[in-house]
Amino acid sequence: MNHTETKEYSMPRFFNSSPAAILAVAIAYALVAKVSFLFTIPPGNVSPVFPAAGIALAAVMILGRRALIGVWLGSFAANTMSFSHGAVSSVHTVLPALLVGTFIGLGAVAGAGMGAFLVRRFCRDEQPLYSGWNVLVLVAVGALGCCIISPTFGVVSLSLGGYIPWEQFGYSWITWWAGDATGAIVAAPLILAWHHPHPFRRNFWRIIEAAVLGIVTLLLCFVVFFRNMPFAYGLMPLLLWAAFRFGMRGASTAAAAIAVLATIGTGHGGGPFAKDTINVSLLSLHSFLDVTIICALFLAGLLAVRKRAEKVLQESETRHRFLFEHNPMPMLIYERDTLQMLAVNEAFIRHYGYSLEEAMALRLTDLYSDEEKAKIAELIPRLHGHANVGEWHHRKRDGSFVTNLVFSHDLEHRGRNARVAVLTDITERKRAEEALRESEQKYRELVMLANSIILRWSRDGRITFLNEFGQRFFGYTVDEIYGRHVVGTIVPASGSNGRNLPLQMDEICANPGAFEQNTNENMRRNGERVWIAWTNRVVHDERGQVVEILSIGADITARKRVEEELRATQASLEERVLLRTTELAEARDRAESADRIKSAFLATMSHELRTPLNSIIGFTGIMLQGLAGPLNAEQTKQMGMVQSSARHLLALINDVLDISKIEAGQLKIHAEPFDLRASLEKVTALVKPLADKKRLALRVVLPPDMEPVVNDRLRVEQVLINLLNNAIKFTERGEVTLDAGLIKDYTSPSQGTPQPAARLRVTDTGIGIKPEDMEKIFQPFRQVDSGITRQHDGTGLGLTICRHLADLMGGEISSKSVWGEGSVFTFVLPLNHKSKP
Amino acid sequence: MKPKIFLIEDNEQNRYLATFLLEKHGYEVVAAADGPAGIELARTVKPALILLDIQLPLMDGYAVARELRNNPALRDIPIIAVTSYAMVGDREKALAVGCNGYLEKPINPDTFVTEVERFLPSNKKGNPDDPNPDSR
Repeated sequence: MNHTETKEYSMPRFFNSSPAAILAVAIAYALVAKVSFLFTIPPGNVSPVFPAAGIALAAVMILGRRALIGVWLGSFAANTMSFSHGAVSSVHTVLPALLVGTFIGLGAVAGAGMGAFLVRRFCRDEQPLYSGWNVLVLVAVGALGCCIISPTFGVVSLSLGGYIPWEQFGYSWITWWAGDATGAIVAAPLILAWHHPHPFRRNFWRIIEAAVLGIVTLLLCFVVFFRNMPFAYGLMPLLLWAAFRFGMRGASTAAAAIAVLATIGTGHGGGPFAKDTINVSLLSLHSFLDVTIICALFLAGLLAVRKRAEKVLQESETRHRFLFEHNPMPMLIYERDTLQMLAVNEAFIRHYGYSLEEAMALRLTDLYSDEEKAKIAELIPRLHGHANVGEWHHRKRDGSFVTNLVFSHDLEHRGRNARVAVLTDITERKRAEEALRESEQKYRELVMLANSIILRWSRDGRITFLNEFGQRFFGYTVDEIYGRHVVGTIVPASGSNGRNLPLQMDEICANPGAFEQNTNENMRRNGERVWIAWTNRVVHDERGQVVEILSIGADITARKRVEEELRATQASLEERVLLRTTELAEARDRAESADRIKSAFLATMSHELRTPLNSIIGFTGIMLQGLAGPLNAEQTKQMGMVQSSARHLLALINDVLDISKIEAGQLKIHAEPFDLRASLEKVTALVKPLADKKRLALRVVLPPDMEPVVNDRLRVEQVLINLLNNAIKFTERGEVTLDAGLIKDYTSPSQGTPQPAARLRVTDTGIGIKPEDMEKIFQPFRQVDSGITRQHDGTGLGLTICRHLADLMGGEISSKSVWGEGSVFTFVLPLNHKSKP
Repeated sequence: MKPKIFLIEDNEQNRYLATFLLEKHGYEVVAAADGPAGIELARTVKPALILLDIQLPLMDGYAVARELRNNPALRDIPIIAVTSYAMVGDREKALAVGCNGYLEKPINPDTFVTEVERFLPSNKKGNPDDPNPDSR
């Protein structure tokens, strides 16, 4: 035991100061020694009773080495006084006494010091008394062992000093040793026990018991040692009682009391140990006391150990009970063989919904689902001796199931072979794990099976992920593509249009944010070039550093191709349109210029033809008028023929000009209101001479009221004159009739809306027209039967012009005929001309 | 004294025909064969009426009519366009440049003088706006 540990002993504050402690030790030692000297046996100052030795040992153990000074002082004082008192006071007697006292004191110091040192050295606990071993160490080493030092010093000194004759040496030494040893055995435990802090339960019954024990002990000591009754060994159970019931304090106190009374009684010659001399009596008493006290102390030491062990056990038990009862995890204990529940904790009750009684009535298998019951019952016997962790489905009282992680372990529970199990509800965790797994699976499938290319690549261009679609699309497996650079795998070294694609990749890596969308030329494993529209997204780490780029791509090769074809087609189309437009413009220009040339030609023709005709007709007229002199009959006839031919030529020119104008679209209708009846009468009057000449009847049949007409009067008259001239021309006998009627709802071939129109009809009894010739007559220069042409002069353009004019005026001309019987020409004239849209 | 009629006509036969007819009816006729000469002569002659052929060498009848109308001294003299042009718009064009009447060639010797006389200032029996109702 080292010095610092001694501080654990509590002591009165007084002893904290070294000189005070030393003084106290010295005084206590000296006083107790002085009392002991009452038993001193002559010769010399050897006392068979010396509890001061115990005080010295206890003081050094409690106070440390400084107590040795007190021990020496006490011993020196007591011995010196004792010796100087017994002999004649003189220089010759005092000086040896001082020397002897000094040496005896040194012996006491050496004994106590060595004893304390050895006791501390061999004690297994900081509390020297509180185990059987420690008690034995204290008694054997501290008391019996080290008490050989003090008598050796003392008796040698006394013998040298002449106080004890050398022949008395052995006897004196034994007496001294026995006195010291017994004193140490009684006093040291007493001091140490009372000095040691001890929780004393101040229980009423214990106080009564202590009092009873004390009284019984005193009575027995009195009876044995002062009345000489043979019950000395009755002291033994009393000591054991004290040790058993009151521990070390009780034992040491009872021992001290017995020792004191026994010593006094025996010293007075009483008691069973009284022998011939007091010295022998005391020695035999000592043997009795030593044995009984050592036994009692040993018992007290053992009991203290057990008490402490019990306390520790109890604390442990309390701790473990708490850990079990109040553990937030459900826990249960079941018997291994029967699977009967032995204990469950609060959390189990709470978690599973059973009452405590119900829970305790369960067998372990009751907790398991039907499928797992047999499995667990089969498993448990094999678990013996092993800790086990398993995942099980437990049924709660309400029938719902929870998934538990069950940790179980063998345990002896109240003498039964049991297992304790700690249950962790992982239902939620499992569910979350499952949900997470499903979700993960779903997203994985989504990504892997999506019909888009999904690609992840690091900043340095290495592919870290490519989904199944992408693998199929590019033609690589995972092993072939992961970790490889995009350039050379899916990105060709250069684009088909010469673009530096690796450079573009570098740009994307360096500044991915600027390339959220891009269209790239890519490459399949077989070298085929494809166009892909990419959407790029940057993946950052926690520190915001770009670690990867997520790219989703769609194959737009086909679209690109179509676009290009479309572009090419469009370009060629534009070219063709341009060409065609030019051609058309040229054609139009040619046509327009041809038109202009035609018009100019017609104008010139007209002029150039009329100019000579002007003279011919003019001079013929002048000659026939006789203005240039008289003509004879033959001359007049021939000049008339010239005039007739010239007029025919003029009519021809006029008709050709009309046709030309109509065909050039230059003939305009000048609509104005006019009196149709007047026009009809006028044209009839005009052709009357011709009819008269051929002796044909010319009849005009007109209704009494005629609607006013708004149309081109001159053109209407031109048409009617033509029709009437033709009728007269082709009729040799009979009559020509002009009649008029009204058509209320006339729908012209050119205009859809019904409107009122005049029907003007010319009927003749002439040669008629064959059905097959009916349409020919309206064509230019197609006079029917050319053989007759000569007989019937005319330009051959009349009906063509008439039909055109009728059409321009919004009406029409139709004809019916019976060959050899006559013809009917019908001219329908809308009453109100509407210019053509 | 008979009124003076000024004739601008390039064709010699037609010039003679018209001159013959008009002189037979007692008019004095002065003739020119082309536009510039006609304009020059018209200033000195100061006719009562001008007969103007449209198809002329050097300068066409429309230009001559415009020129004549620009001369204040000649502004009020009636001009009758005589043309073998018979295309649509000829008549309107002639009236637009200042002609008072329009006669189509070939002329009718039986009616020619009568038609001309309608445009003479002293003769109020004709309608200058409808010089030839039957022409076509």
